[in-house]
Amino acid sequence: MNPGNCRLEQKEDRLYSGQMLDRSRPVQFTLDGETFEGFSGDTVLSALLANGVDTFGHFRGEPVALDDRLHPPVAHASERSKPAAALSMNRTPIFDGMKLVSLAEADTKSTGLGQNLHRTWRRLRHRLPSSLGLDPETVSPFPGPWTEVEPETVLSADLIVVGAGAGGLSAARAGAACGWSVLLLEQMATPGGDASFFGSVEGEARAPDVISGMMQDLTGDKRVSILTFTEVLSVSGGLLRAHQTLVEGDRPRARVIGFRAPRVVLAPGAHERLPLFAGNRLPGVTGARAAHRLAASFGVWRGKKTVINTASSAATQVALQAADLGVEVLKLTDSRADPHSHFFDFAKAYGVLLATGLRVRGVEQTEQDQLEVSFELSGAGKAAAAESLTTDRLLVCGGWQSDLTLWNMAGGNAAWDPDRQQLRAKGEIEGVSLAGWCQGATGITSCIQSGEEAVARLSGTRVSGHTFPPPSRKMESDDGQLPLSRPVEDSPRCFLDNGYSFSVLSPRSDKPGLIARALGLGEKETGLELRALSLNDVSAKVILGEITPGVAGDFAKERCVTPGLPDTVSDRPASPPNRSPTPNSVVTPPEFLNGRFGSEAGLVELQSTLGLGLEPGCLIFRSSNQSRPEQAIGVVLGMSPSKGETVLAYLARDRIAGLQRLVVRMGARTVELTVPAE
Amino acid sequence: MSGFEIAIAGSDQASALLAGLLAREYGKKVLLVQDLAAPYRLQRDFHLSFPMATRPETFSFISGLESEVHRLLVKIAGRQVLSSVAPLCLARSAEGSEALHHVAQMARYFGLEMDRAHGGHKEANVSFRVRGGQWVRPRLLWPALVNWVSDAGVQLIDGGECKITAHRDGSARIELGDLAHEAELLVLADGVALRRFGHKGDVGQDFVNCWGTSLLTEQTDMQDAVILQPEKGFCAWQQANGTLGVIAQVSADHVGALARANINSKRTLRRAGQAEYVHAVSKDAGPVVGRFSRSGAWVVAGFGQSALHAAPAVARLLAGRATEPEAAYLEPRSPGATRGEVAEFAPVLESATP
Repeated sequence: MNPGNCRLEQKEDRLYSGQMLDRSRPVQFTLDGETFEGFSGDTVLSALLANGVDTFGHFRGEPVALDDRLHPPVAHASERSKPAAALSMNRTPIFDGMKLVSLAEADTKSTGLGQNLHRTWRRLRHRLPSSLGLDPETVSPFPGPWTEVEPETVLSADLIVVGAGAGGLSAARAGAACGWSVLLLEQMATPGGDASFFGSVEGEARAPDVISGMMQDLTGDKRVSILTFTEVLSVSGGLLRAHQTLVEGDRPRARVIGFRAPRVVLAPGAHERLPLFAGNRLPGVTGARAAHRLAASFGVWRGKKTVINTASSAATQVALQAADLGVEVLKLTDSRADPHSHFFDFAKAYGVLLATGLRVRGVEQTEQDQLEVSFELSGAGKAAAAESLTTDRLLVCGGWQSDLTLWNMAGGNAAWDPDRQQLRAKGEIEGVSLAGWCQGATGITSCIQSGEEAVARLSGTRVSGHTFPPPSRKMESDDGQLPLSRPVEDSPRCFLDNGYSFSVLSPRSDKPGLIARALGLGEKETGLELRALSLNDVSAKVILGEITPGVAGDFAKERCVTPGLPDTVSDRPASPPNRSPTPNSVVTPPEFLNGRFGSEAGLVELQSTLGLGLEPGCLIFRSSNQSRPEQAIGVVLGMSPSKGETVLAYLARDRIAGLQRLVVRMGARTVELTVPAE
Repeated sequence: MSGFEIAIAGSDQASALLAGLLAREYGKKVLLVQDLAAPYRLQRDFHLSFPMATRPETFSFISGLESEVHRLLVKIAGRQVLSSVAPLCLARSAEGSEALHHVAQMARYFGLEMDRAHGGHKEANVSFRVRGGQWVRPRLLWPALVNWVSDAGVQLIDGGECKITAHRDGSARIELGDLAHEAELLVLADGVALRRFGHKGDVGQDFVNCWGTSLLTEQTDMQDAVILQPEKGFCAWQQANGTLGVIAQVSADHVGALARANINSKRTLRRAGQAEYVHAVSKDAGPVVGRFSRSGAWVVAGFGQSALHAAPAVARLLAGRATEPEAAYLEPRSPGATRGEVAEFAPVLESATP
């Protein structure tokens, strides 16, 4: 294979030219002993996809796509046993001679050579050289072992901004203008977020120009530090925990890093929803935004023929950009009945076939590794029942879900918005503000405004609850509903999202009750209950009617978590556990004995006649005829420290007058105790 | 505006069972103020047929209700809802170890086998295995319980959004948006409702606000079906799909380390879900049942893992039909009473000041 296998042709001034690449510098690296080629600037993931490796492995017999949401963690071969050194494929640039191993089977017993042989065998068995040969059910942890690692250092600033899209950049700039030190954290290689994907609408400046302008403002400002390849994993107790890839010379290394600040702006953007149809995670089925990112940054594109199905106008520009570079766009389909977008006019100008009111019914893989895509009318569609299409690639976009995962972790709430069919943030958190998509802003102008307002809220300049309407409603239709075509028996699986929860939409019709379904009871297949869910899983479950909208926010808050359970605070006792007979050191009766044996109860030392230690809690009776606990006149607290067979008892002293011996019951046995003379 | 005889504020299963019993058995018109998300949530309560108690009267009270409750639960949710279980009980502190010894001795008098589990747990100072008890499978109970309560004519409203104004005579006004309900008697029936709707002076007398965390793990390999660590309010149980449910009276920051130490799995514990909450817990770990002196509202709390089993007796008490032994047990456990003689072993709580 060569680095050009799945690459678009490079043309000057084209968006999909692979702006991160230096195509004059080919690079070779190995993964699990196999050699791959890429270009300087590629990530491990983009290089694999460019080499035609598009399959993660098989989930219960069906191939599952390798993509930006599902990829195994990797490590330098020499550091495979160090969780803190694990790297994310999607955030690790490649360098010549790099030797990597995937950590995908860390939970199996096979390691090293055995692991590689096992994987190679699986790849051969499935006759898929394009597959990594992994089983998602045995791969753990997702997204990587770094979720279980303590930060090696904690950095502080006056303001932390998560996400360097238009909203995050704007918030960072506004924070710096307040005189604050700012840490701007971005998971991708460069700031800008998805501005180039969503573009700008009539009357707005070009998105790249806007981003570039804000970057110029920030790079000259010493108060602002931008950390790229830094993905924030969790927020807890005021600590943001992130996984970062650093490049030192020609060797990337990873670290887990903590951040603290009195003010935080969360602007992580939105998740692209996966439309629900049979086969929606087969290799070749890709989210439109994911395809855009791969093409724009790395020039990666699978095959020559592409079909697009979308419920959101932004995805249509992918068709135009790809067609401009020689990709045959067989059809651009939209699940909305009568959508309006300026992109459609461009598409027509490019000669792209358009069809509206269609959604994908299902996808099957052909013998030639192509996709057979069938469609159905999505309600009030105008098109006739569509034919099937055979294509190399199906790009899909089911609309968007604001990424409120960190907001929820920080203590925020969310509620279902029936109009936009997504979870939206609710309420406020002291010291934390939302910007961009998460605040409801969708156009570049409103994202910038939301970033400024987020900082204004944190600085104490009260901003009333602002809503950000989608830009230019006249020109652009709203996003449509999540396309849903319930799978039938024996069709490929339909997943609720393309993350790592592998929640499956069961084709069966005899569903259990609502609560039972939400709890994953009675389903044919599990998957749902076994791992943390994504917000897309939850919103799909609401749309499917498996969760009532009123509880979706609470449900998401509990189930959309990071899998790692790091040792934040040790629960171990400060001193080693006392393993001598317990509780020798106890000299006062515990509170739970108060009142048990009357007002005259107190500590008494008794002499055991058995020569055995008595366990605490053994009840003491006046005579061997008594056996009911309410007849007890005392209880053994333990053996008296350093007094041999002396028993320390808590006893009703007013009830032992005249008695020389008492009886202790220890299971079926009775033991006599001698009462002291006084 | 609609009127009810009793309004029960509580989102746990015992609150729902209490509401259903009052409506079905005693013909009461009942309003259940429940967080409607509760049945969908991670489990926050766990129910065993025996108490982790040190007092004979508590054992006697719960064991006297066992067969009645089990018949009721089977009727509601089928036989599968009950399952025999032999939990491993752990303690690490000297106080916790001492308490477990006392519990063990008491359990034996009430027909349970509670013996030292030598080598049962490497992290524990002491560990016991309890045999002869049953547990209520929580995930099977909720769906059936919701239907049962609804069929009983209990009206449910969303406690997450409502406002309750309690009057000194014990009555209350419950408002949800434009709707208002009056109830002759308000019952605060779980720790979250107590914290939200209780009078601060009332609640502060016998309760303390503390953290609680519920955890759902990915599949793992816990050797025991159920592990308890009473000194931390910790309980972990295996579910049919190999995941674990965990409840602990600690904050989310501490739950990972605690679960790892107790579960003792060969595999790394990983989170599949988590909920952290603040709830009111009785200071002396004993049940608190009766009328608050300041607000006049009733409280039913502090039964811990025996809350479901106590529900029929509490329902009888509220309906004025308590048996003599039940009244004798519950009367000293009323709020504000001299509670020195009803204290149980109290977990070390992580107090919360939300």
